[in-house]
Amino acid sequence: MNFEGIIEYSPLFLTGIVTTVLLALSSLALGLLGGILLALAKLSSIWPLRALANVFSDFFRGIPEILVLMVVFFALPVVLADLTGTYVEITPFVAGLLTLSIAFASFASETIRAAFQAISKGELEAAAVYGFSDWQVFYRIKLPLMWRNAVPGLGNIWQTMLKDTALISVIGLSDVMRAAKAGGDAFRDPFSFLLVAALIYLVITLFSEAVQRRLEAHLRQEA
Amino acid sequence: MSESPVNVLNATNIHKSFGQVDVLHGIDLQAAEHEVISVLGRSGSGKSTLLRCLSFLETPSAGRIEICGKTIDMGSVADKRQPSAKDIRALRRSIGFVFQSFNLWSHRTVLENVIEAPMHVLGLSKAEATEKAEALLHKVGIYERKDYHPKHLSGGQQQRVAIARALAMEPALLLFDEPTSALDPELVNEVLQVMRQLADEGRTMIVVTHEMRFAREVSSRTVFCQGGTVAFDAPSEDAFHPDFNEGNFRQFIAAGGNE
Ligand SMILES: Nc1ncnc2c1ncn2[C@@H]1O[C@H](COP(=O)(O)OP(=O)(O)OP(=O)(O)O)[C@@H](O)[C@H]1O
Ligand SMILES: [Mg+2]
Repeated sequence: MNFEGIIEYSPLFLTGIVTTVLLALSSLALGLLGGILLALAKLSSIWPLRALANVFSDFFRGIPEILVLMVVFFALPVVLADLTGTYVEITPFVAGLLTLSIAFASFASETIRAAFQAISKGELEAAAVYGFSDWQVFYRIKLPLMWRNAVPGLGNIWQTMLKDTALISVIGLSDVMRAAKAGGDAFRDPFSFLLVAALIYLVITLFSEAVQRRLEAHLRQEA
Repeated sequence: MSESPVNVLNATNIHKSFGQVDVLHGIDLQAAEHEVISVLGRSGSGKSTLLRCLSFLETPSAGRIEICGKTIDMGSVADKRQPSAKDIRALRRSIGFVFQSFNLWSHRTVLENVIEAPMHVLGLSKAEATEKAEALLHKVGIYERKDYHPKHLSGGQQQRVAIARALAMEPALLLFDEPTSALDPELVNEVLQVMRQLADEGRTMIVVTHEMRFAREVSSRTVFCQGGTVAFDAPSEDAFHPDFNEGNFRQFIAAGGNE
């Protein structure tokens, strides 16, 4: 093990951890929002909306994420430049955020749709009959009940996405993976640096699993 | 001329069909203030549908519903009118609905269930709503469990919470749809006890039930539904008199008020 090298590269690893966690969390937030919107579209009574949401999520579940990433990072700026006449730079972080949240939203939309459908009709009727507006029924009753049903399933999708953040290093994002690659190249010792990266990912996922388990236990206690 | 008592509910000529299936064919139902009305009838006679139409959980196909002076007129079947969300909410302001399966909000504690609508529909402050809710929870005898989630309560306890939740909105008319039918036999009485208390307080109630004793002893009027119409609407005293037999009511009672 090349300990001096690892210590020298520890600042790079630290910023890498921050970038990886930040990317994962922001993709989770955007992906959840997208997933909820897709799920609502899938449950809508308007059939073109349903069809659009289904095609969207089937499409992005069906193609490799690295392909989406390449399109977003390399092709999208060109298309945008052609359309708007100005060059819009898409940073690796933004490209990663878009790719991961589109993927998360596409997978999550199925879990969230099922979670909405599993809500007992009676609880919604009770809210309606006590005078809640449609919007109040949605955010005071439907959304929290959906959340309780969806958390276990969303947890799995999140775990996958957490690891998929490593993908973004191929377009130059300075994440944990990138730090490992740089260190390994500099010291001609890829093994030590990749091992450090593996340990970092392991700690992050184990921590996230622990949080998830507590959240699930808490929700089970309630509903 | 003596003034007739003010009717809390005037429902006239209520029709409801689900697609091709006609469930209610022209039901009339009035409730004067302080009246307790039992609605009896065989399974499938349309009792739940009637209560659900009164609260617009189902949209009646035709008819006119007036509750506490607020009216929604659905016209005739041919009209195919759609009531506005605003009118429905105005009508619902006067109604409390108690469901057979309680339908408490499972993500909220007992207390939160009771303060939810007063805070977010009536605009009460949390302190006001809580004070009122705690008094109601004492009244239905479940105050000790106020921080429990519904799933940790028995059916009878859940139903008493549901009644407190309804009362918290100070409704002029309480609708009960078989409030004890989902309960284990030994839990039925604790709920009926609360309902008797409400009747004694002079609350206006319409109760769909299979509890013959409650109908006979507590309700002032008995309405018997048969095939989507009202077979009779009589003072409970008369309806439960041994000589009374309209619309096979005697056979219905003999069968225990069920099938
Ligand atoms: N949403 C619906 N769609 C189609 N048919 C319905 C619907 N709701 C009720 N019905 C039908 O309407 C009829 C009356 O049902 P309702 O639930 O009002 O009866 P009920 O008198 O309350 O019976 P029970 O004593 O079993 O509760 C039944 O034949 C039922 O199948
Ligand atoms: Mg019924």
